[in-house]
Amino acid sequence: MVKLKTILLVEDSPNDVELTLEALDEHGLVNRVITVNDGVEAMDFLLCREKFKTRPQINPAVILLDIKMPRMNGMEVLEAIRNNDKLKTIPVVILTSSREEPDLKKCYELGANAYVVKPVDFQQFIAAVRQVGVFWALINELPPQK
Amino acid sequence: MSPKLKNSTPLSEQITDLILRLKKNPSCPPEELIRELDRLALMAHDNVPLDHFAQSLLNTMSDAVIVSDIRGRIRQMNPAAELLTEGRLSENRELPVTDIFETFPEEVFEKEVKDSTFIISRKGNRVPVIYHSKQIKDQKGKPNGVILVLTNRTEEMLSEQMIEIRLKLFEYATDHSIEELLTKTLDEVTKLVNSSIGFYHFVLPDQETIFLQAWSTDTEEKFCRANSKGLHYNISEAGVWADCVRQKRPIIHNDYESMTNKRGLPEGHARVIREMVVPVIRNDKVVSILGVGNKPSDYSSSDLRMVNILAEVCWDIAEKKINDNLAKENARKLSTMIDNLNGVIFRCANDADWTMEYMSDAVRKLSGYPAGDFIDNKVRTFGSIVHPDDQDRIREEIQGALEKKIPYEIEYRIITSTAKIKWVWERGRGVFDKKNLLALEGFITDITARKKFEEELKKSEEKYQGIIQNTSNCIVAYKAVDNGSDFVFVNFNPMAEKTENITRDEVIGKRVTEVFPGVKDSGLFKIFQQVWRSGNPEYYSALMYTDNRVQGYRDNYVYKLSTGEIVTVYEDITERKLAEDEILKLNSDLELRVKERTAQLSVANKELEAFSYSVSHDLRAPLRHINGFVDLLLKKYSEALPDKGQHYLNTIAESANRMGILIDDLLQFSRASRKELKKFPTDMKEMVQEIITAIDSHNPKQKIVWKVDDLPVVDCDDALMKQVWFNLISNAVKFSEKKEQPVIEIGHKKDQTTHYFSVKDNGVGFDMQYVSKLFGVFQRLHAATDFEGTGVGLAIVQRIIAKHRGVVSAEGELNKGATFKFSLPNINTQNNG
Repeated sequence: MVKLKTILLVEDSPNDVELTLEALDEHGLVNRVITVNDGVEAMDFLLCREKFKTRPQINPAVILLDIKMPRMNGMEVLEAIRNNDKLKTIPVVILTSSREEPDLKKCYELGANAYVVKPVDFQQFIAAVRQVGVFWALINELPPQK
Repeated sequence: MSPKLKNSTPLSEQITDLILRLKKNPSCPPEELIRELDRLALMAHDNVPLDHFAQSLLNTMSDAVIVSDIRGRIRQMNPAAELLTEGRLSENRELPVTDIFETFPEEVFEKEVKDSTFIISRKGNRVPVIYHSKQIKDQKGKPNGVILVLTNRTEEMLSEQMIEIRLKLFEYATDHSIEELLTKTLDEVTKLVNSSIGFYHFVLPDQETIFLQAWSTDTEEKFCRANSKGLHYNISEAGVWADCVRQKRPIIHNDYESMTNKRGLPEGHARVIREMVVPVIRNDKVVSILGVGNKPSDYSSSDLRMVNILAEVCWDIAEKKINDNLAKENARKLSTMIDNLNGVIFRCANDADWTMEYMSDAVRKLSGYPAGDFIDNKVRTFGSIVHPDDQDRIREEIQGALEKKIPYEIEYRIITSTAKIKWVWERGRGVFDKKNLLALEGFITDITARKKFEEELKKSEEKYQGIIQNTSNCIVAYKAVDNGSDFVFVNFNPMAEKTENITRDEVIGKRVTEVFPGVKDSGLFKIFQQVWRSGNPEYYSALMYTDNRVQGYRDNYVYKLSTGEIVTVYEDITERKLAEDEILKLNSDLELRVKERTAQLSVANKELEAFSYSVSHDLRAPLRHINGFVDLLLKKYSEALPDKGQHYLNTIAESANRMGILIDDLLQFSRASRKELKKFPTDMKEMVQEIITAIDSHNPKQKIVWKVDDLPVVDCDDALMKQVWFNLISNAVKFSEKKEQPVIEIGHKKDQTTHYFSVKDNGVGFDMQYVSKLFGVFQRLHAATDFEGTGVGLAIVQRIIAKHRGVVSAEGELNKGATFKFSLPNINTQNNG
């Protein structure tokens, strides 16, 4: 049985969540998307704690991570993931509105696998998200887990 | 008185009488004696036996008496004759008398003869004699013998010879050097005493050193090759002949070869067989020695006498010559000295003309007139060349000195033959004979140069005095006292008076520690002492001086004059110092303010960044949402919407998109302005080619003709420069895309300081009257409907180029295209090697 590959979407804006899910829906990936609203929740999910205590301890295929979020922002999440032996191999795609160079630089330094600026044009946005989703969730082979 | 004998008295008495008379008068002429002897001889011949007294007479006579018989056989000789002939009577008796003579005068048997001749002694010595013959007759008057009285002439001849040599040497000395004279003397001496060696040495007064002066010609040629003429050497090192100096008496070594205490002769020295050395003594000191050597026979006392005489003669002549030479030399020296003296020596009368009795030739150099002109006022008087303005003054001064009988020194002007005025200095005095003034004697020298120098010095001193008086620096001079333990004011200029608020008269002669009690505390005093000791100038800056009377900052320069005085040149810099302090304070205030401003600015920058970030992030999100949901609405519910509704939605979507682009461009512009430059050598050619390729591939339908110059490597921020090129080139593309054949030219030129780039298109161009608006943000010259764009691109270009210290410009004409130019500094052109 093929293991269920999940996509973790970390996004505080419900509008963006909705639009992102719309985009992913086109490829039937939407069912596999788990959405959390900020970094804290994202870490809870990844470390299977709090409300995610009971979930199966399987890492997501990819994490789509917004930067600007309340409580714990995307970069803090990324740093935590890369510093955690169990999580550090998870591909992280930064999905953000920021085209600022310092953000870009910092994210890559922290170990982001990709950096996607959300286009204002929805068609472009759909295209981008779909490609990201398809690539990371379906095509990319994960490194073997310990 | 003649010693006549009386016939009446007995013979013995007569002889006794004769002897007594002879003793009284030894210069009795031989003739008289002969006559008397004649008589006695007659008596003897007449067999009157010579009695004891007669025999005594003959024995004591200094003249030789020889009696021969008629056959010429020797019958009688007295002891003097034995001595002369060097043979005893017993040996000579009956021998022919002719043997004794070199040439026998036969006529003595015929008549009475008086003449000179030579006899040859038994030992072969040739002795000059005067002979006097007398026939001896028997009682019948028949000749039966001859009596010969011989007087030895050796001495007489010797003295004649001596006189002759002496005269010869005197004559010789007049036109020959001392060395030649000595050699000549030695040549004569050696000839006289038949010696092959002859030498003459001077002995220095120390009696220790012999000065080898001369050798006889023969000696020099044949013997003494030891080249020692003029050599000084110590007597203790000299040969045995030097004993004559040590002992101050003549030395004769007839047995030189067998001597044991002789010294080894130097190599090349003649072999010495015998020698004789005589000293010349003056004032109990040996002044010279004359030596002869290697006579074939022993040196005799007569040799000694001759050598002695000639040594003396020679010394006298040599000494006289030396003295003459000295006198001549002194005279010459004096004359040379007078000639070379840098001045004129004179002797003149104390009259109105200063009539010259003597004047040295130097007056020609001084005045241009020969000395002869002034002597006895022959051509002109000395008074006539004295400057008229000085005449009375010098006369007054000279008369004053003459009255007091003291020397005078005067300075005055003369007028030379070329009408030049010269300054002279004269020192003179009166020459008095008991009471009367005989003449003036003195010395005049040219001091024109000195006078000129003095005048210039005076001028320069006045000039410097002027400077010192009027300078805005304080100038103070001090003299060290008590070996540098304090300094006394010797000069104090007006500026110092003003600065220190004290007059010159109040300080001159006073000690610096007295006038400025604070000088020791200020540290300047130590500098004074240091400079005074070392002579090296010192700068002592911004010194704070303070005492009860004056205070202030002083900038001191201290140095030492060649006269030993210490000079300080200083300035009151109190005001400047205060101003400086004020400036320093302001500066530190300013720094603080700059810090504050910088901090504020940095806060503002941070805020701006945060703002940009917000714009970038937060402003775009809602746009995206609008866009996204409009899109979803259109996709999912378009059928439910009327056409109008769909149009509205489309408009909303477009506006949102456009706003997105605007925001992006604005952010880019903001980034371009804020970003710090990171310059690297950047290959413009590569960069431009990349952009062209990208543009071509983006619009594959459009066939643009690209004309690109060879572009250089330029030091710049590559990311920003790429933006510049992209904006300019895409602009060119955009505004020429409606042309049938777009041509875009990218050019480059450079000079030593600058690179010039240009992007030229043949597109729609623009109206030059709007050129100033071209580079403003959101400025557009074309309708958005004609050409897309936000109007930010060129503003970004302008910002980036300005950051690179370059300039942008544009030229264009409507419908004929546009050219955009920018320059960059040509600093580091590491162009392909």
